[in-house]
Amino acid sequence: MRLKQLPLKEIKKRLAKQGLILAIGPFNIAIKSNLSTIAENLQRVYSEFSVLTDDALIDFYVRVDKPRSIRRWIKPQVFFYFDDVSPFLPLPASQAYPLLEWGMNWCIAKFSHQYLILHAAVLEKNDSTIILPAESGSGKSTLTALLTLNGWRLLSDEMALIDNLNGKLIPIARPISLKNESITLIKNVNNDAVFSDIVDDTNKGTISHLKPSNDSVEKLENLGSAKAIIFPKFNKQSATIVAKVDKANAFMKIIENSFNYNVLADVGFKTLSRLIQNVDCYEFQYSDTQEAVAFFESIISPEQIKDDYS
Amino acid sequence: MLTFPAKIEVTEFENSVVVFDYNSGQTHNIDLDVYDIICFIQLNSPIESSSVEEKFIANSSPEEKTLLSTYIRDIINSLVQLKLVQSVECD
Repeated sequence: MRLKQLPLKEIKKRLAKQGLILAIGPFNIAIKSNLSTIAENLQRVYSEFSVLTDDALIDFYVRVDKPRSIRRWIKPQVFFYFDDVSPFLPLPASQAYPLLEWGMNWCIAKFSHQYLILHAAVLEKNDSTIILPAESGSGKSTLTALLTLNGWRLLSDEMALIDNLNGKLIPIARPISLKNESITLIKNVNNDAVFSDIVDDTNKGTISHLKPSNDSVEKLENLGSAKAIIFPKFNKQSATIVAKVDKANAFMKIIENSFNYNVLADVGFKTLSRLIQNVDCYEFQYSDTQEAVAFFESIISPEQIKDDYS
Repeated sequence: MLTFPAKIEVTEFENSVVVFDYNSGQTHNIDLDVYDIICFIQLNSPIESSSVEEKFIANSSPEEKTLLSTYIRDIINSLVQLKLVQSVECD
């Protein structure tokens, strides 16, 4: 059953009682919360995801709730709980939904060492999968949102999951986290795009999550094989610049963008070696979003990329 | 005397190699020329530093030999700092 088939009342009931169990890529996550905002936002941006029954095996038990203290009422706060333990400081109650998303990121990054996890977006079109590793603020998510609105399938926005056993990219296709001006930019590109509530004054600025395309969620079972790694960088002053990156340098840059390379040790080294050996690597600087999308379309054609960017 | 205590995993690329050192857990991006020196030390460990220099400056002009010796000494020092190569005192 898809989440969109559940009425909001039922979503709220499950969140408040046994937990709403969502199959999010390779993870089954049981979510609990008494907050209406959690139910409403989940219904909006996870509507295409499968809801599992109570007997499903759970990877992560998470909860977002107000504390049982005065901060429930005065300058209200919310806590994120993992297995009923709160690993973070509380945030203002208005940030409950982003806190749930960040908390789920934390669970995956901390406990999913069957994968090499990169801070990277992953997109696929015409069987060509592209990895975009990038630091925060590089415009990765904006680019990811633009590409998904241009027919690219989202495998992930925040975390690339690379299977240590076979090097395949595991789709997770959670909502795309957009910040500040990117939210308006994407809304202007597509009026029909569905967003979670816009939340101001977070540590990252104004935040909203873009619902992934239906196609991306329907194809969660389709693993990706990387064709290229592109390090994107948005620079208002820059023309579109593409430069090939030496593979050994790309290797070192990716280590900097990994959540668990050091934890995995030789396993991470072998996974990354296999990945890099089979892809071309580029640095990509852009300011014009249309040119950026055109560049990614060109990547799908192997002849063109060899001729133009080598 | 130079020894090679490191257990390493190596992936070769066009112009350089990436080396994973099991002892330190560190990953290093190493130029192919430097990797040649690593391989030579690994194969001939323990070996005098001077023997490594001799191997790689053979067939060079006297001016080149001076330059190359300094270069190779610097490389060896770097490898020692990275703990890929160990410098041990012999009685």
